[in-house]
Amino acid sequence: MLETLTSALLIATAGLSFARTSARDVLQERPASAQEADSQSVPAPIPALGAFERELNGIMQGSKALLLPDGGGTVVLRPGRSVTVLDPPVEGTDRRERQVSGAFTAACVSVNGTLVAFEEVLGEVRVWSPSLDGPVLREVSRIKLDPSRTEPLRDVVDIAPFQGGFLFVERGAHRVRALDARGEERFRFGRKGGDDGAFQFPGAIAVDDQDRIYVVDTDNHRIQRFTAEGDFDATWGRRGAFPGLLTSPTGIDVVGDRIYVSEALNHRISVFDLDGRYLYQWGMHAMIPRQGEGRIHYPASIDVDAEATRAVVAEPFERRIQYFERFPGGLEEARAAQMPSKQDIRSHFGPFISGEDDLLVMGEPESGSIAVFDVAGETGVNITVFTNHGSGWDDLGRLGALHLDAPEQMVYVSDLVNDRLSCWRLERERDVTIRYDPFMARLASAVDLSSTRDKLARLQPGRTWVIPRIVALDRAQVAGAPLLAADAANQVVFALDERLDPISVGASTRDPLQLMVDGSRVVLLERSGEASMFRPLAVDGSDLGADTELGGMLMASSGTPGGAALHGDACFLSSPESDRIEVIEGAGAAFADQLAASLETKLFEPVSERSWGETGGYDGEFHAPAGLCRIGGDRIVVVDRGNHRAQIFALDGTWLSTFSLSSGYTTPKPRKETP
Amino acid sequence: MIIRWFVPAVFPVLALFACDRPVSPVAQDDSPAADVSVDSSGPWETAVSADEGFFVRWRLLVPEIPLADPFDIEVEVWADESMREPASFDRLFVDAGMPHHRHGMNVVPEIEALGPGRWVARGMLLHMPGRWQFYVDVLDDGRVERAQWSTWLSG
Repeated sequence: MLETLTSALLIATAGLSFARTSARDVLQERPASAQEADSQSVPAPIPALGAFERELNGIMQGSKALLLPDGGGTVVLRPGRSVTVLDPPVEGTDRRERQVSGAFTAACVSVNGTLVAFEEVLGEVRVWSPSLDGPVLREVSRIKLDPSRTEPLRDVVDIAPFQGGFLFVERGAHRVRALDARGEERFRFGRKGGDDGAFQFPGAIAVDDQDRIYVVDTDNHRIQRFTAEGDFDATWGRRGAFPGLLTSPTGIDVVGDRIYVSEALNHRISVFDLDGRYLYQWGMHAMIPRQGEGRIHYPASIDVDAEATRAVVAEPFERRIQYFERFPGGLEEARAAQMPSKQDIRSHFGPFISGEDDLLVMGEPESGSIAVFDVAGETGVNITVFTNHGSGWDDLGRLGALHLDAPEQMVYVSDLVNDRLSCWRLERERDVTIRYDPFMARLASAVDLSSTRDKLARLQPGRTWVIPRIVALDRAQVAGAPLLAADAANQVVFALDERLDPISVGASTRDPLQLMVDGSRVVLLERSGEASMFRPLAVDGSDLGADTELGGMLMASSGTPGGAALHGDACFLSSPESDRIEVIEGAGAAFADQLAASLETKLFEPVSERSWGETGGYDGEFHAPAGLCRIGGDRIVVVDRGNHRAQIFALDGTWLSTFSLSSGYTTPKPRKETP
Repeated sequence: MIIRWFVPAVFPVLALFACDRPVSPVAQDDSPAADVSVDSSGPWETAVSADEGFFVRWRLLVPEIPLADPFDIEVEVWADESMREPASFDRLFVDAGMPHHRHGMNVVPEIEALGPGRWVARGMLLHMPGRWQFYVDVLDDGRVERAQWSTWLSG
């Protein structure tokens, strides 16, 4: 099968070489009858297979790519960092870039070609001229939002021009707000939920020629349409891989009478008409990292030019953008070229992992399940899988955090969509032969986090509490230590009792990433601009540095860590951007110093001699490593997400084994020579 | 435990879903109802919740579980192991699933209150042979706790 697919890919690639060099020529050379047929169903052109790709450093989670009109180049948004305009892609020429740095979180291109971006820290909408003359972008206007008149925009992930003003998608607030050109709010719609007009973490927005508004409702796996006044109009889509279904849609573009939707977990672009009728799809799951030529891996955005002759897809996971051009044969050829997805991929480990002693749990986002591994031996052996995507008490909407309590064989699961924290018990005898048991995990209890909000309000009245968004869970390894939850919505850490009721409110945190534990030591890893900050906490989650202005330590980092683990004096962090495991030495001792009240903000750098890993698919190499954790035997497990596997290492970086749901080995595979 | 016993005036629809089925709302009020008897066939079985917060006694209301045909089960939920004190809670959910096949039932059973601590789940339907797990989920003050048991359904 693989050979067949490879052959097909080679054939497709050969054809694409032709399309790449002369896509517009091909269109012009088509028979007049075909061109007439295209013009009757405007816009008829079909972006389809990949033409060529462009590798970009710094493409990160949330990055988007946009096409400027008339072949004017490509805009790349690196959220929180910059907006960059790349010259039109002409092979064989040096690429020029015009970049504006800033905490931009959303960008779009208007019909007349102006580039618009929202800068969240300053609360500004900035507009640049479409002209690419000169070395810098020419700013034509800047709209400063007045917080005294307009509620500040928060967690904006997309923006769209709308009736002289703009629409903003506020992901964390599950809503859309329409502002006029002066920055004053016209209307808003949306709330958290699954019914009509409600959202679960909306991700993108587009407007059609009739000013109808289309919103990507990412975690409800659907598209919703609203009138120009913001009233609910229609919805379509539900979770699934079958053509026409949607799984974690991320981006949208509306061109003429077609809607293009990128789907992260189906690894494809689906195309609908304006009423949501499925037309066709393109893309194919990349089986191994770095596959291009039409294979798509976790697409984050889709943008199609006004003539629908060209499309660009951002793939932060692959650190690239890919351009697509139309099939010369039109719709029939596009439909005939449908390719299977997820071929031969058995494991889709997400970023979440938790392990201790002889057990390990990992999230599997594509199926909405959690896999449990026995790691008492040299490699990981899958012993059960539990929970499904859904809304029932034992289902999972989207994983927010995972914590394994190995001695008690309990697994705690935070669900960001169903607003739930659940506790699963593993019915497993340790002394028997390892075997797969689908009945091993039993839901013990679950709490509705709206009740947790109410209980937090009783614990600490006088502040506004919202439903917690738990993004990290851990517990100090000392008797009686409570389970700690890092809550990104309320920006606090709180402690929970055995019934999962909150018992105390601890440290404040603006952007928590992970809780790390080593014995009685608890450290919160949080984002601070482009750096990461370690903050030592007490076992109950309270801030050890609360009585001083210097409460933590900064670490220079190449982007947000994919995961982190503490071990003695060292902290291990995975770097999805550099495909390395970075080791911070001395961090542990510094945390201990903090306990001795020697509080000082200190800059840590990874120790290159102890860090390891490089980009690749062989044992010991990584592609976008995500979560990591410690297990028994002084070993580190790393989710090698891009390679759809996990790897076990000794603390010095020595590779020990590789495993997935269905395989595991401890002898490295021979490296093939590149011809 | 403070006893709070509410008997529905109308038969509420309760469900726990294995897939994407919506959770049906449960109507409750304070009006007491007399005990209702049901025709029973099976012997009583017992189960305890995960954190021993409540105790379940259940029996089939048919001689044996039919394959792909609806049937009812009677469920009692008690606060104590001696089963003298009805448990207090806000909502009850009854469901069944096949974890190894990663699915649940295709139907939503109706839950009918029979009296203090006594319920009947009507319209259970196990659509394929194999090992099924039954779930009783009790929701109280925003927290669900589960009791479960297994049965084998022959083809």
